[in-house]
Amino acid sequence: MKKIKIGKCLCLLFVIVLMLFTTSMTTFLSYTNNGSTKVIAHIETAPTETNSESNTVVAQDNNSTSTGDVTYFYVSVSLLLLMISILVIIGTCLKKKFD
Amino acid sequence: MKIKKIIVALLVGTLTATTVVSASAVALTDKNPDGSTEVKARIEGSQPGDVSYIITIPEKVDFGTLSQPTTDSDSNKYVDFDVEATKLDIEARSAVSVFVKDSSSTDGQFYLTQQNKENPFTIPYDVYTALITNDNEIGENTPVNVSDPSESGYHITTFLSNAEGETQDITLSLNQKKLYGQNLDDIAGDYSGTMMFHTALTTLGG
Repeated sequence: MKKIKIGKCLCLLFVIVLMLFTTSMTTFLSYTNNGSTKVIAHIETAPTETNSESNTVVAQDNNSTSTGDVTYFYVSVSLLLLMISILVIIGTCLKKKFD
Repeated sequence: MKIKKIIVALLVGTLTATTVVSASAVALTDKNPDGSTEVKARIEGSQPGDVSYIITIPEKVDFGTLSQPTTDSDSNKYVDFDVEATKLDIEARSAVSVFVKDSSSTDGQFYLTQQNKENPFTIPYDVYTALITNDNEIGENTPVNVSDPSESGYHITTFLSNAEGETQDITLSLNQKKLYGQNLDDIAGDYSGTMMFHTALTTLGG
């Protein structure tokens, strides 16, 4: 019975480590590049208010590149949750072991 | 006991969801340029003998939503970004040259291609090595893609060994005049193109 419980705890830990690895790889891959930049645009189907002056539209698009702050946030949250879950699971397993 | 199991299950589920969101955040192609999630990417080069450099380019550049002009006249839209010499650990007589070309173009020009269409519409755009924000400035500058490209592409800048931290302004200019007279239903949708950057370490003469 105890062996089964320990086994379950180990499985959970393995899943967590796997997710941590996946998150790290995702972050790593987002920061390595084969030297290419993707250029994108969009055209709407509905008639748009046409304007030969594009200055105002350009002003909205000047911040089209950012530093990836959102990615940092998601990775930080992921790591924090992983740390907390590891502690909770270890605590749960230890408590079960000593009950 | 039950509560603990539920907490553990919730944690595992939350972690799984967070990992998925993290992956998708990097992969998103936001149509709205505001709040986009582009991540700066890097080209790394290394040579034997402790020579290395890092040139940073953006992962994505977004023209946003294009407008169809009402007249057959120029209607330029601009978007700019920087190419940065993030790290230049090279010899004093060396320099890092940066080239760019379209990944799939056959005539050396830069194109945005309509996605998910059997006969896609293509829109050309020009590349300038300067910061351009209006039509007055565009007349004072020449796009890099007016000449014939080399095998590596069009030369856009060269960073000397003491230029670490410097940036090169790059402006992409798209003339929406190409959309004039077109059926919006046929040309509507998402467009994308890829600029391939190439770096080369060169030794200066003298």
